[in-house]
Amino acid sequence: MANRRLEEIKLLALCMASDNRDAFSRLVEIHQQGLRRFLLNLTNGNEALTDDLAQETFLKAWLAVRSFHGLSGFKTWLYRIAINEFSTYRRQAARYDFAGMDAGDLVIEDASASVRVTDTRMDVASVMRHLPEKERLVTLLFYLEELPVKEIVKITGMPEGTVKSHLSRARGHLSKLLTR
Amino acid sequence: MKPTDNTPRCRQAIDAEISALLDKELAKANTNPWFIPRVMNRLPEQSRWGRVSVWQWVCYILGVAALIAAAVISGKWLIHTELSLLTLTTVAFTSLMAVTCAAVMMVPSLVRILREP
Repeated sequence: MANRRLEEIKLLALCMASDNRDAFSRLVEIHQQGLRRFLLNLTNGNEALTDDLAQETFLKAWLAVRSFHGLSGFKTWLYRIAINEFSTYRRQAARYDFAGMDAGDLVIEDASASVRVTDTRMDVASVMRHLPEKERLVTLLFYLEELPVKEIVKITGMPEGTVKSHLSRARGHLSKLLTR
Repeated sequence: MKPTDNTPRCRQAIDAEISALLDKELAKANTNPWFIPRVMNRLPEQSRWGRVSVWQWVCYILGVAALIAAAVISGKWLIHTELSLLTLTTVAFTSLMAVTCAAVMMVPSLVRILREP
């Protein structure tokens, strides 16, 4: 983890000092899978939208890399951009009703075709889909990305009490899956 | 330990279980070999100044500073010296200083030219 952090700092320094595109490409390589998975579950399985949002996020990150002061981690900064992009998309495309998606439209299969869609997977996907958007966002950041509450507050701009409240409700829904 | 227990330790254990469950069961993004090339292709064209590295900027700034210093020193010297005392050596020395300053500024470009195959 420390080596990865050092590598990230070195790559960021190269990007900032000399617009080194190879360094930025390596940063994209490090973060793209996690970011795309986060966005895929935030958008309830919309793969095309996920890739569009992810591309926009990295593009904005490149354009703004010199304003990254390193006070928060690069991942925190990147995810903040991603969430802003998602919010912008939601405002501009109000005709997409994510909450109204049927279970049949939801992409819950893994990349490997051999992975069977289990009942547990269906249940988890269903619970996540029915969470309100802000709860789903906080849930993904806390449980999937394993970010602490303080980082989630920085990323989302929500007050700490609100984040904890969302997590508490999400915990209530998700913990029922543990007892099955 | 039941999910309804609300002690911090119990919450941490439940959180760990939920994390593991979501990591296992939530959809993963498909591997897309074109994602990174697409991102890189969308980056704006590099400006000429964007290609200049830090050490190149240092050379440019040092060169300009040296030129200005040489001009100021030469000017002051000329003002306080009679023109009849101006010798060929003086002129040559001043010219050499100016050429040296210009050469310092050109070092990055020379290095780039020499590095090209």
